[in-house]
Amino acid sequence: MTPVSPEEISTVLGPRAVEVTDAHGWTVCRVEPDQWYGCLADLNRSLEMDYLACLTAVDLLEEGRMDLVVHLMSLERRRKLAVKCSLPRDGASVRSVRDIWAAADWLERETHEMFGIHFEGHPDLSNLLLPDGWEGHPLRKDYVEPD
Amino acid sequence: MSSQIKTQELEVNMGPQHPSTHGVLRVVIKLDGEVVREATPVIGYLHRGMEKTAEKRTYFQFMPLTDRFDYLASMLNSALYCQTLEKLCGMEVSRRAEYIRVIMMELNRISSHLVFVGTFGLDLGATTPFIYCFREREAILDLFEEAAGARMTFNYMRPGGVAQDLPAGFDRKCRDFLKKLPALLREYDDLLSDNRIFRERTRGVGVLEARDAVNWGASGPVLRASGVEYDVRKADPYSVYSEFEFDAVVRTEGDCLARYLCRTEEMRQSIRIIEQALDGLPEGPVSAKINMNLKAPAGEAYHHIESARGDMGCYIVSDGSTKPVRLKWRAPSFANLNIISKLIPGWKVADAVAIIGSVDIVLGEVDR
Repeated sequence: MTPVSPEEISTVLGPRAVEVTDAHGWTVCRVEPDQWYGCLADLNRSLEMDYLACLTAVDLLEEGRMDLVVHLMSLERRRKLAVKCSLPRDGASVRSVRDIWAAADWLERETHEMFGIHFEGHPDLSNLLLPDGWEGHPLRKDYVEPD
Repeated sequence: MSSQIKTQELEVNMGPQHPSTHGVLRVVIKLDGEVVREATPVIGYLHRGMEKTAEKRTYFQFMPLTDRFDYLASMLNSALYCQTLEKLCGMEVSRRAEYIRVIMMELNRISSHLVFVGTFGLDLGATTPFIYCFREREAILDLFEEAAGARMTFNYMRPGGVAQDLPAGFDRKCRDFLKKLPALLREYDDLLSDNRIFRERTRGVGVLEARDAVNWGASGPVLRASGVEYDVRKADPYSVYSEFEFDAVVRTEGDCLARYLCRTEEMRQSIRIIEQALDGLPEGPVSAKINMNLKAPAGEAYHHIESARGDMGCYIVSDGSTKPVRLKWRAPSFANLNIISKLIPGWKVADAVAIIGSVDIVLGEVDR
C-alpha cells in the first residue's frame, strides 16, 4: 500500500489542500473545515478512496484547537491517505461524511460524544459508548472526571 | 371466524446478558411474528475509557492494558501497540524478535478462530465442537504460558522486541501441536462444515455484498468472505510477513457459511506461516535496551495490522513527552458489528443469532 503523493492531492484538491506532510508512511493533508465534506467527497471519487479506516479527533488544548483526523484507504488501488482539519475547541461543527462512508456512522457518533464536535446531517448523534445523559466530553483535555 | 388476525410489532431486547451476544452486547430487535424487521446494536457496556487512560500513563505503563482491547487476540493487540510506538520512535527490532512475534501472533489467530468455531457451533445448537475447540485452544494457551507466563493477557510484547526469548523445548512442542492440528481441523469439518443442519442454517443467510462491506469499513474474514481481497499482511506488509508464503483466504458468497469457512481456512494458512517462521528463526537478541521513561518524538504515527478480526489500527499523537497526547484504537469488531443492523432485517430470530455469531465480535475492543 503506497501513500497518496502530494502531486495527486494537488491535482484533486488544488489550493484546498492547505498543507501536505508525511507522517511515517502516511501522507497527511490539511484542509479548511468548511471544505471538509467537499474535499473528502472529491478524494473518494477521484482517487477511489473507498475505505474509511478511522475517524477521530485530537484535543490540542495549548494550541487552542482540535484536529479532526480521518484515515482513508483505497482497497482496490492499495493507497492510503490521512486528511485533517482544525476546529475551534468550542462549538465545532463540520458536515457529516456518513453519506459517503457508512463506516463514519459510529465513528462520528463517538467523536461527537467524546469531543463535543457536531456533525451536520448525521442521522443520530446520541451517545454511543457513554450512558445517556453523561455530562461533559471525556476525551477533551479540560474534562473533569466525576467523583 | 374472521380471516383477519390482528398482529402487532414487538420490541425485544436481546442482551446485554444473553449467551448468543458473545459478551455484553444488546441488540434491540423489532419483531413481526418470528421475522426481525429492525435490529439495532447497543454498545458501551464494556467501555473502560482505555483511550483516556492511555493519556494518563507513560508508554510503558499502558503496555499491559493493550492486551485487554481484544482479549481473545492479545498478542496481536500488544504487537500493534509496540509496532506503532517503534514507528513513531524510529526504533529497530531484531529479526529474531520479529519472527517470534509472528509465531505468537499466528498462534493467537488460531486460538481466536478456535473460540469462534466453537462458539459459533454453540450458537447453532452444536455443543460438541465447542469442547473440541477449547481442547485445542488449551494446547496453544500452554505454549503461551511457557513463553509469557500467562494464559491470557500475556504482556509479552515490548517496544523493541519481546519480553524474553522462547523457552527451551518450545520449538518441539509447537511443531508437535502444528502437526496434530490439521487432522483435528478435519474433525471439525466432519462435525460442522459438512454437517447438513449447520450448512442449512448458515448457507445464504445474512449475505453481505462486497460494496456494502467496503463502505461500512468491514475487514478481516467478514470482508474477505464477501469477495474483497484485503488482508493487511498482504496489502500493506509489516513486520516480516513478506518473507512467508501464505494465501489471503477469499470467498465470494458473503453469507454466514463463507465467513465461517474463511476462518477455518485461515487457521491452515497460519500453520503454514508458523512452520516457516520456526524453520527460519534467526539467532540474535530478542529485546532492545529501552528507557522505561521512553519519550516519543513529537509527531504522529498510524499503523495497522491484520488482527484475528480484521484491520486493527493504532493512532498515536505525541508532543515529545512520556505520555501520548492521544491514542486511538481502530478496532475491527467496531466496524464489523454495526453491519448487523443491515444484515439481520428480514431474517428470523434464530438466523439473527447465526448472523451475530458469524461476525465474531469481541466487545472488549468494540467498547474499549
